[in-house]
Amino acid sequence: MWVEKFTPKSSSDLCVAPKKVKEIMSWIQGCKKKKQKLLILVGSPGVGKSTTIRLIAKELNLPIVSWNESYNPRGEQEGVDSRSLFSVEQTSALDSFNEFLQQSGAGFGSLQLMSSSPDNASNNSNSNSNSIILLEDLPNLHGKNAELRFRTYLSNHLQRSQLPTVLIFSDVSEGKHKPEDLERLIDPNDLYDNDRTTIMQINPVTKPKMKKILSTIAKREKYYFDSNFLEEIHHQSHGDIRHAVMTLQLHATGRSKSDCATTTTLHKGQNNRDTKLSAFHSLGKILYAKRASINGVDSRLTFDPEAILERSDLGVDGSLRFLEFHSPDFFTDITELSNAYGHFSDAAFLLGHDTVSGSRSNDNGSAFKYASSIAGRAVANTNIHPAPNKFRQFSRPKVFDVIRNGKQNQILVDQLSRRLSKCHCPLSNFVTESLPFVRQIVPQDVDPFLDNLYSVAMQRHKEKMKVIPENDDDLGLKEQQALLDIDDIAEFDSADDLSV
Amino acid sequence: MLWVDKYRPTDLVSLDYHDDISQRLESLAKNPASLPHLFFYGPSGAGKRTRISAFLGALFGPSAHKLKLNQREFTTPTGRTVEIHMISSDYHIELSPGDAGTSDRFVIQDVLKDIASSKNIRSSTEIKVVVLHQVDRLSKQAQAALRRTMEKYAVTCRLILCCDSPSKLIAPLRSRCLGIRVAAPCEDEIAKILKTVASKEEFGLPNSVAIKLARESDRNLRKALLMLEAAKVQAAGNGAIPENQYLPSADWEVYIRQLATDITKEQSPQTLMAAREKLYELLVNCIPASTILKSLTGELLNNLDDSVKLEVIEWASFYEHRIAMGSKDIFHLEAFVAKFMAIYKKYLNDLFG
Repeated sequence: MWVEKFTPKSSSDLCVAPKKVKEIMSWIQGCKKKKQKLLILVGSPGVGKSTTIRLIAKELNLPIVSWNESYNPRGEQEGVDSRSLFSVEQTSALDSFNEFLQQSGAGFGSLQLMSSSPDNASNNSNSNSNSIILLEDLPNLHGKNAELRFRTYLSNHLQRSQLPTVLIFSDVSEGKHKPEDLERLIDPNDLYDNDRTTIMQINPVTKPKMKKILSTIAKREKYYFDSNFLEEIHHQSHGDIRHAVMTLQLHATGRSKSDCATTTTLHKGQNNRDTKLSAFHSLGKILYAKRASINGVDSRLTFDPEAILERSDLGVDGSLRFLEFHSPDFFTDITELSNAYGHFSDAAFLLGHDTVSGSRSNDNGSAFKYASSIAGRAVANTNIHPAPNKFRQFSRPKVFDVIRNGKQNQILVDQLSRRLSKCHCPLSNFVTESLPFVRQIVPQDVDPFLDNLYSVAMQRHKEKMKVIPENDDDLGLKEQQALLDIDDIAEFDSADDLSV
Repeated sequence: MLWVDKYRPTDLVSLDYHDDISQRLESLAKNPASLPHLFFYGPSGAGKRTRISAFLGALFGPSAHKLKLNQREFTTPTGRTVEIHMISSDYHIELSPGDAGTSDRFVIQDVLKDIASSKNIRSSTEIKVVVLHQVDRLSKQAQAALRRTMEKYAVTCRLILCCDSPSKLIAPLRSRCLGIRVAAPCEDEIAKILKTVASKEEFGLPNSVAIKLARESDRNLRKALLMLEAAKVQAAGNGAIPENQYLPSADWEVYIRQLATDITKEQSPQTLMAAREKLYELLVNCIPASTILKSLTGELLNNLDDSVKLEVIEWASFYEHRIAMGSKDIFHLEAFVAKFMAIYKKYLNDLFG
């Protein structure tokens, strides 16, 4: 593999900007004095984050202690230990992670640990006090509980540890990380503590740099690629050097050496890196529905709705819900909006139909395609008088909450109906016929979860009750009440006066 | 205990209305050997279940009312497990197989096989009864399965089916059963029952209030009794319910009425968004989408000119069909609201030029 063969051998070979490399190096050198504990490297996959750290560590002669999923503190007992055979994988991964942090943080762990530094053996004796802890692949974190444990482990570690820790975080979309993703992993107290924690962003590899590297590799392997081709590779790789080198090798293997003349073009769609559009991007495109204008007359859409929906990471089903949720903001005319909603309903119907017939797994079903077509074009076709551009908030549709809460409530109602009456009537009848009155009869029995509607109705009821008695006495009473309210707000003391 | 349950008649003699049905059930119960499968249908709150349980009492004696609630798990051939709540006595089992969703077919086959394989030892009649509620929710496959099993186990086991509308039951099933239509009681009958309950609870109920309650209840006895109890709670004290007592109405109906006025007041994408919040609220509270659509249409029609009524009803039925067919209720509800707004706006524009 060329990726391994041409791994940078020194920090000057790195495709990360030299300035960044220097920054990281100085952080590692200075962290002891400044009491800095945690460095977070953020960047999309394949830009060389891990390589940078490893090379710098090598040059500074610091061993790296790194954790990976198969780390086992009990070393050679692995496989023989019956506990590891039967224990649940996920929790044990988290446990071993914790154990790892404790051992390495205390500074005596590296004797048993696999140290990824090649000159590990010679360094072992004096490495303990100045190695780097590298957290590359984190244990699987499913669910709130695991996340919480991870966070406490990590913050405990940061408190105790004498060694600098480097966390590599490659979960980014379109080059940027979401702060909340990091917050999930790391306690915000630690994360935003500037004295101890530094976050560094590593940008995708620039075009000239990548071209230089790719052509060096090609030369060393005695291939020739023309410059356009390399540019194309850069474009498709989105600055991911690992991917770029792989692509290069893929194209090289098919050709005999020194066969240089043929101009190769990358076939579109054939070896494209799978680019997923973020939800924000794809739906924005559909909702704004820009058209290319020719001679001042809008004509064709500037995008292909089907392709966008297909590439969107939400899938058609999710996209439809997002579109439906956000579209009213983009319309000014209710008739046009109603047409769009009609289309959404059609699409939802076609999608729903697919699931009914049981061909859920087959996403290429014909109805599915029609649905995505309808959904993608609904806004573009119906919105003749779009609302002016403005800042719009993009949020998750509430439908999901509605469905989830509805299900929870259904369970509650079901339990309630069983508790209240022996003769168990259909749930829908219970909700519509019995529940509203049961609430008024035995309010203490009805779960407060289901009270929202009730409060609205009660308000109405009170208004009505107020309207019915229209005597002077009552009006006086009302005035008194208003007075009381004002006094209540003013101070408690005056309330005493009133009562006297 | 709610009055609905407290004053539920337990034997055929004490049923308040539909005397002809009671008599027929009585004579059927006298000769259990020639008992056909029964199919009770009629609107909600008309007394189908009450009649079924009274009939079972007449068939097996009072111990048929000794019910116990139990849960059973079924495993489908595909490995899914479904939990079903069942009510059973020594002689019969009640369940609503529609709860099992798509695997209702297996539940029916399992239960029937189970029941039919053991004979009834405690009663002289030697038959067992399976009561299936909400058979309209059964899938077509389950209904077909029911049709076969019905004949297979006819010797030992009788079925009593129960649902609102017979139209959702396949014809072969309907033809295998003796259909008994339990019509909704008329308003006078409801008012009379309300008065009886009031006298048993020892409080005064003016005739006008009783009639008003009966009218408000849509001829649904369950609803009427619950409304009576709620009104009594609101009136407080031990005395009679006053004539001008504010009658409680179902909260969700009030809510839908509000929604209807909202969307007739102003038609714009903004009001649609507000209306959507209300729809969400209703759905969270487990009000079925088709019920929302139905009562919303009813409310909208109240203040509508005849010229647009037809169009609105047409779209309402179109979207109700959509709701029945698909699983994504909210899309169709919102589409209907948007459609109504568009129609109404056009009507207003035409009216005022």
